Amino acid sequence: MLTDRFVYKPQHDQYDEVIGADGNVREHWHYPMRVLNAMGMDALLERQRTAKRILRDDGASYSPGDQLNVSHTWSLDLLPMILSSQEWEVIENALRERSELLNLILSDLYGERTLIHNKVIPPAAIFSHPGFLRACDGIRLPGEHQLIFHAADLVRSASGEWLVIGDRAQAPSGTGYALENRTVLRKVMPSLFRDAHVHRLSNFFLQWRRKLAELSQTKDAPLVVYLTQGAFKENSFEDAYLANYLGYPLVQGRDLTVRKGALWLKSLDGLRKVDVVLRRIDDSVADPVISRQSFGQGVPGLTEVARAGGVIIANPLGSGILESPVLAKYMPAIARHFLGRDLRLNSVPTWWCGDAADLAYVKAHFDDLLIRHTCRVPGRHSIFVADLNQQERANLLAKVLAHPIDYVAQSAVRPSQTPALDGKVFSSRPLVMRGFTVASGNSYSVMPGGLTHIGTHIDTQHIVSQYSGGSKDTWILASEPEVEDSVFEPEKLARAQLDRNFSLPSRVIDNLFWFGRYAERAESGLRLVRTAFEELNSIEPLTPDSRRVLLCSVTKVTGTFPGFTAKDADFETPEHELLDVVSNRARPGSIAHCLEAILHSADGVKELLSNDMLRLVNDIRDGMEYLNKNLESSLQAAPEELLDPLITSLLALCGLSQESMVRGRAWRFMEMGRRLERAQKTVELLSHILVKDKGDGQSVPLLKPVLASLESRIVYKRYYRSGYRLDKGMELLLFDRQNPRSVMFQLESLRNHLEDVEGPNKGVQLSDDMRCILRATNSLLLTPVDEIALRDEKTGEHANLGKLLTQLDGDLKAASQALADRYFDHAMGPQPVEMSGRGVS
Amino acid sequence: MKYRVRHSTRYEYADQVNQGYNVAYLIPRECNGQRVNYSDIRIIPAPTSRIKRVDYFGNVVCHFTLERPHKSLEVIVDSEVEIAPSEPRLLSGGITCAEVLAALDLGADVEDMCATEFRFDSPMVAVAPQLADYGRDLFAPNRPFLEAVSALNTRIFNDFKYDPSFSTVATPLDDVLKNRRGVCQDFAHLAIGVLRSLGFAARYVSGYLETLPPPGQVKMQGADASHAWFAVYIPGDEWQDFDPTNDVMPADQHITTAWGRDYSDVTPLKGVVFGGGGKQVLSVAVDVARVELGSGVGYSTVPNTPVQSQSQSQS
Repeated sequence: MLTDRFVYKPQHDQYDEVIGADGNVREHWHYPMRVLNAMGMDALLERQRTAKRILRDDGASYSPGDQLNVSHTWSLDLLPMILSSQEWEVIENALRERSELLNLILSDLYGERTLIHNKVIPPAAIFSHPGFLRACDGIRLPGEHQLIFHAADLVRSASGEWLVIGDRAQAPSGTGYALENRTVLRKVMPSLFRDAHVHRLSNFFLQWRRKLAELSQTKDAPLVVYLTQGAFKENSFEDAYLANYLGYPLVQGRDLTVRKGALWLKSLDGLRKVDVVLRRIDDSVADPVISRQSFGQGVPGLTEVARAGGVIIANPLGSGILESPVLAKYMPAIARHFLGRDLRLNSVPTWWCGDAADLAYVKAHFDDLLIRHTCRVPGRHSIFVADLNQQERANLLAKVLAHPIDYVAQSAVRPSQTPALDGKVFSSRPLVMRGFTVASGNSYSVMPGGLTHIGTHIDTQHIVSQYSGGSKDTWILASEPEVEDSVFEPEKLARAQLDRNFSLPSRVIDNLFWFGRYAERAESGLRLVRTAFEELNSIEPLTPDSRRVLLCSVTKVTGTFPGFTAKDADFETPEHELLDVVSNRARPGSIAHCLEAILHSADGVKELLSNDMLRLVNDIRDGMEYLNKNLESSLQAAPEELLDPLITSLLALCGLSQESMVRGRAWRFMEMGRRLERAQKTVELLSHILVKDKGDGQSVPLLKPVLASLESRIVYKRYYRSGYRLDKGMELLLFDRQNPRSVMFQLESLRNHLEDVEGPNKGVQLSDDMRCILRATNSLLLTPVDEIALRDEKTGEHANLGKLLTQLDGDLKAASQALADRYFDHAMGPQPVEMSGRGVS
Repeated sequence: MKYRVRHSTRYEYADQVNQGYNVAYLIPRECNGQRVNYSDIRIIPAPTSRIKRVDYFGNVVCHFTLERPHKSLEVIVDSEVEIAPSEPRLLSGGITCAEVLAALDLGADVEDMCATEFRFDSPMVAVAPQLADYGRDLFAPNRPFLEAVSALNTRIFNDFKYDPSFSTVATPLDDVLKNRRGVCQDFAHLAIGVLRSLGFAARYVSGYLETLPPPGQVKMQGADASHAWFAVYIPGDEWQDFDPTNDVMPADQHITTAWGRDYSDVTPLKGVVFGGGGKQVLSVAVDVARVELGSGVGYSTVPNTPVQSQSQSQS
């Protein structure tokens, strides 16, 4: 029973998941309620905060659009959705049956089409649907299953009956979120979880892996890839998370290529044959040869390779037709056609406007219905007519009447409700539960659980279309505790060990390299700006000339021209320009621009970064928002302090990449990016500031900010205790191999990384990249430090230093280019060509 | 009538193409009244893989890939087909428009049901009220269906100006209708759009037309072209072809390559390439030659006659 402390009174007429019609707590909720009451509201709120933090640190997010910085942290309510084992058994059997039926439909539609020929489904329902891909006709997977993965959205009506409101049969999303929900809830509510005997999810994923391995023609260590649309899509978190959990390389269309009748992964080690594609992209974009929509995505030639059996695609292309809501209307008839009996699980009552009698009904009851297009497209939502005003209703009806075959109407079921933590109270929220199945044996395995979405407020009916309402972990109570299996089977693990550098796509390497470069670029840029601020406000102000040189170097090193190099540059009050260099996202070269690039690259390689690294990436994301909010207001007082937290995050990222990444190739490429960038930025800074420094004889005043900006001032003072002398400064910044900021240090580590990356395949000749690095190293080694400190007698400039720096700069740039040419895939994307011209007679 | 057809397509890329994935609908299909004696496809450079198969609509489709760098692609198809002249149809008798619609709605036999595939929107032809309006008056319920279609065929021929400079492959049907100009592909799509908007089943036919030189002149090589027209379904009977570009019902001068819902289903040659530099020059040459009895050579070759070919650059 609920005590006084936990008051939850359902305020609705619908079925309530916790409180029965008699006003008492349902039996399977007795134990959880006791635990929650014992815990108390404050503890619960504390755990809710913890859960929120974990989700944010895991980077659990969904992005509603393509914006780089807009991603909403996944929201999880602490109260699980709980189903008793008896109740679940009914749902489980029904889901299994539904998957079996959809499998038969899929097989039939791209095969004999008896459903059409025997008039079980009106031909128009299939023929008019863009999801029916004629190019996929006749393609078959080996074995009984054509449909490998299926998900169904379920709601419980007022009578307590579960109804299917929609099916997902292309790349059903949500399993990753369900897994994350479980992981987090187990962490924050360990006792509740342990004693409640909740069915575990891992067996379901084990079956995923088994099924995909079984589909492969190659039985020995098949290569399964996880094909996604890439970063910044709605489910990119889930894709990275699942690919990691399942142990499959996460790839995009451009990582794959069709050659010699097979599909290949473009990896650092060359092409590797792909056996199975776990497809998470839609039919319509999978193969640009077939579909015009897919340029820039997908893999040209994929369909024909699949037809020839050169690769297995799960789910097969064309399975999107199963998502047409028109099928819901005909499900009972289809069940009788194939199974000879009625379905266990009903669909929500559905009327197809392409049917004359149904259309008449829809017109008569329009205001009470939910209107759906038969074709699911991002951004196109179902519409509850009751939510519209008169004019909108008339417009919608006109649209439906103009193309009736494209619309269905469904009765607007009022979903069941469940309590959710809302501030300090529980309030009722409607819910939709997504159930998942995977092909197994001669039937399907059902995930013992699911993904439960809840509405943002009590009377909403929009749940699935807007994730903003939040989600719940879904518990199926077992009668006794279960043994947990690993998702990996033991013998498979052994083989995975052998393949440590397993097939990193070239794109991933490319991203890591740039991740390293941008992280360093942002850091060096931030330091330089911070140094400039410090000098501006210093008690020993720089001479106007020096000040100019320093400020111009900010523009030059960051590449934010014209900036201080402009004719009308304001050297008296440069703060505004300096802040713009930091925060103006739209300005190429600005710090904000670099940070975005870091986020961008990180999103492309999420699956390789540890949780802590992702947390830091998220800190950077937050740091940028903080910066944008506070910059203007802090112009007056010590703006440099505003930059400190970001520098700290970047340093932490750098430190962590040393400590938490395996010293594999991935790490080496990231390191090379960082080292190259640091060497280049140092060389640039020195040449912009010090070469022309006229100074006052021995001392070079601008060396101080240069040292500060390169994080070497303290060390300089300790070593030399002298004034700022160029020879000493250059010794530390160029030659000293002990100083992790010196150019020599960067060159030596670059050399190590290059040697390692090349590995045993090294040829007799040096590679171009290595040659450049060695040339730079030699130039340094062979230059006496006294010589570069000499001034040119005529100009007073440090001409020798200038010469050396120019040479280093050239070598470093050439090294970077050679690396890119050698390891990264810069093939242009696919181009469509219409080769026939037209009939012109 | 026996014909030899040579259809050659040459594609020159501005820059090297590293890989190309192509689909060709260039091999004539067997169908009512048309027999294909042979049809050979040559691809230069030699493709890495090449598969010929029968597609969803019963057409012969050839998929091929080029996986080595190349700067040009040439596809040459040589075919010989025999066409038995069809019996002239009586337009004035037969099934009425209303009866056609009723039969399609009912879908009593498999043929009728399969034909309904061609009643709906397809990638390049969407039904629209203005399309229905263009032909509605011709399709009175009690009028014999074929007579109505023939009238539509003639109306398009009279109303529209043949103008290769007006449209491209991607010109929307709406623009064609508004401007009353286009080429055979547009006219076929237009007729199909009108018919579907009125509820009938119509499909797109791609192929060739034998053209005859003006009296007294010698036919030039490469002067022919790929052609397109449409066909309508007559329940209980079969499909009947109409050519709105020439205001005729094809008899034995139209050679059928493939059919589908519209051009996008049977594009003669399309593909995706990696590289190529974005600019390409396309040249297409088609020769349709009657094989005279006892004569091995199809067309009269005249020395020093320049080979004429149409070329069109696509963006």
